[in-house]
Amino acid sequence: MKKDIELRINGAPYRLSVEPGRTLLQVLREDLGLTGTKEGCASGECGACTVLLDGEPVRSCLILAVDARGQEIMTIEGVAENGKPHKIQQAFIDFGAIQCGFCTPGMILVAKALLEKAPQPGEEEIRKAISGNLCRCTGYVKIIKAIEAASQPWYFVSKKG
Amino acid sequence: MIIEEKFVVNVPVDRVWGFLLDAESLASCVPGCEHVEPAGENSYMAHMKARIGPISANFKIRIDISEMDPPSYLKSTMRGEDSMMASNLNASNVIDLRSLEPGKTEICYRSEVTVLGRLGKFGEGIMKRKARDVGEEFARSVKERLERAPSGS
Amino acid sequence: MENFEYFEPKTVQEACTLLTQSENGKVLAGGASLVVLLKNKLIFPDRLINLKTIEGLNRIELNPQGELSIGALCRHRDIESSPVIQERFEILAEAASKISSPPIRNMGTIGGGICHADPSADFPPALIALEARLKVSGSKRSRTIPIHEFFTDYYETVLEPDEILTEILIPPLPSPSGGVYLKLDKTTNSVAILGIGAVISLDKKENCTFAGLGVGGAAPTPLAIKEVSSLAGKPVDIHSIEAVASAAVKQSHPISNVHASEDYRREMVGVLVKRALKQALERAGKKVTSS
Repeated sequence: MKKDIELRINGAPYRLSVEPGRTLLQVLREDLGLTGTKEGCASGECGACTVLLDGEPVRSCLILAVDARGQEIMTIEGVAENGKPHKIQQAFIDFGAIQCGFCTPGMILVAKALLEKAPQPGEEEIRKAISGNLCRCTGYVKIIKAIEAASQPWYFVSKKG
Repeated sequence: MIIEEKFVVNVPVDRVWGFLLDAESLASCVPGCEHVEPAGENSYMAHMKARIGPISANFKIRIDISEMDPPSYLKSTMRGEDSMMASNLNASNVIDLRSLEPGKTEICYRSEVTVLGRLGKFGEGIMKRKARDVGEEFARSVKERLERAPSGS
Repeated sequence: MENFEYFEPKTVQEACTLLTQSENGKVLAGGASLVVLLKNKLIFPDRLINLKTIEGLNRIELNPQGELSIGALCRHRDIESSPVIQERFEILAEAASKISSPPIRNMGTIGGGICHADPSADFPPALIALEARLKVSGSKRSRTIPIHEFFTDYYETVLEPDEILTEILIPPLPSPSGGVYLKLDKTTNSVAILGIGAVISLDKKENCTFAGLGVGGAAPTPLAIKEVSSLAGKPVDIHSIEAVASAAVKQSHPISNVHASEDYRREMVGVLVKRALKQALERAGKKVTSS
C-alpha cells in the first residue's frame, strides 16, 4: 500500500506516493530523475549512493524513502551554488580527481559534510571521512589532494559564469 | 561443500543396508527433511527445510538412486529448488558400508552439496558449518535409530 | 522489494503489540542490516515496524546506580563520540569506531547490531568484556538478560517474536581500569575476521580486581571467556594471561571462509587475546609482570 510522503531534497519539498519497500535511492533516481546518486553494490559498502541527511553522509540504498521524511536531504544536484561549481567540485576538476566519475558524487558530498564540520582537516581526517567511498579508478591520491585544497582559505572558484 | 562422516554402528551390515533402502526411515534422520514420497523406481520426492537466523529455505527435492551394490555401496543424487528464494540445491551422495565384525558395521558417507542462486551468495562459510552440523546430526540419528530397534524389525 | 505493512509506533508497547499481531514482522532501527536482507530478497516480513519514531530510546546517560545506560537506538557514531563513553568505557568507543564506514556509523544502531547477532559484529566482544546487561520489553513482560546469555546461534538470539531490545546497561568500572577492542580484518573496518574485547580493573596495590574478555568471529556466537576471571585477586602476570589465551583457543570453533581459514582464526584467537589483555592492563596503568 502506497504511502503519501513529503521529502525535502536540496531545499525543496517533493510530494510523493511510494510503497514502503522503496529505498531513497530508488525514489531519487526513478521517481525524481535525480540520477546523480548512483547504485554500486546494493549493500551499503561502496558509497556510490551516498547522500547527506541533515548534513550527515548516509547510504541512500539502505534507507526506506518513507523513513527519510522530516529530514533535509542533499544530493549532488544540490551542491553547486547559484549555477556555479562549489569549490569542492572545482577542486576535483582542477586536481584531476575525476576519472569515470561514478564515485564522484558520493566523494563530493562526504567532503562537503567534512569541511562543514572541520574546516581545515588534515590528510588523516580526510582519509577517514572518505573511507566509506570506494574509487576504482583514481587511487584516491588526487581526491585527497582536491579536498585538502578546497579546505584552504586561499582556494576559491575563480572561473567566470 | 563436502559433508563427510564415518561412524560405527553395533548392527550387522544387512540391517544397515535395509535401513538405507527404507527412504522414510533414512529421511527421518536428516534434519529438516519431511514428506518423503516414492516417485517411481528408485526415486523419491521430499521437502528440505533449512534456516540460518532470519533466513529460511524450503527446497522441493527429488532424490534418485543411481548406483547400488548391495549391501555395501549406494550412490544417489539430489536436485532441489526453492523458488521463493530463487535457489537450487544439488547434491551427490555416496554411502559405503563395511562389515567390521559380525554385528558391527562402519558407515562412511560423503555428500557434495552445491547451493546455487540467491542463497548461494550468502554466507558460504556459515552454510558449510551448518552443513557440517546437519551431517553430524544425521550420523547421530542413524546410529541411534539402528541401535535402538530390536533385531529383526 | 516485497510488499509489507509499515508502521511508526510512538511507544515500545505499541511496537510490541504490532509484533504480536504479525506473522513474521520485523523491527526497523538503522536499517544497515535489515534493509540489506530485504533488498536482496532473503527475508519476507509481512510488516515493518520503525523504532526510530519512539522517543527516548537513544539516550546515553549514567543512571542513579552509576551504571551507564545506552539506548538501543543510539547510532554507532553517537557511541564513538560520546564524552562519557570515551572517558569511562573507552573499549566501547573504540569498538564503535571500527564498525564499517562513517556513513554506516551514521545509520546503524547498537541495538540493531546486537539483535542481528552476527558472530563477527564489533560491539558484542566489548559488551561481553564489560559484562553488559540487556533490557528487553515484550508485550507481556520486561526482562534483563546478561549479554553472555543472549546469543544462541548464527544470527539468532533468545528474543521472543514480540520482544524489543530497549536499553544496554553497563556496570560501573572501578578505577583504574583499562579496556581495549582489537579487530583483525583484511582492510580497515571491513567485516571482522576476529574481534577481541578485554577489560582489566586494578586496586591500589595493583592486584587485578576484575577482568572481562569477549571474542567475536570464533564461533556461531560471540564468546564469553569465563577463565579470564582467574586473573583476579593478584597482579596480572604473563603465565595467567597465557592460560586465559589457551582457554579462549579451546573454546573457539570458527568457520573457514574466503577471508580466513578455521586454523588461522583459531591461532589468532590465542595471539590476540594475549595482546588485548596486555593492552588492557597497560591502559589501566600497569605493565604485565613476567613472573
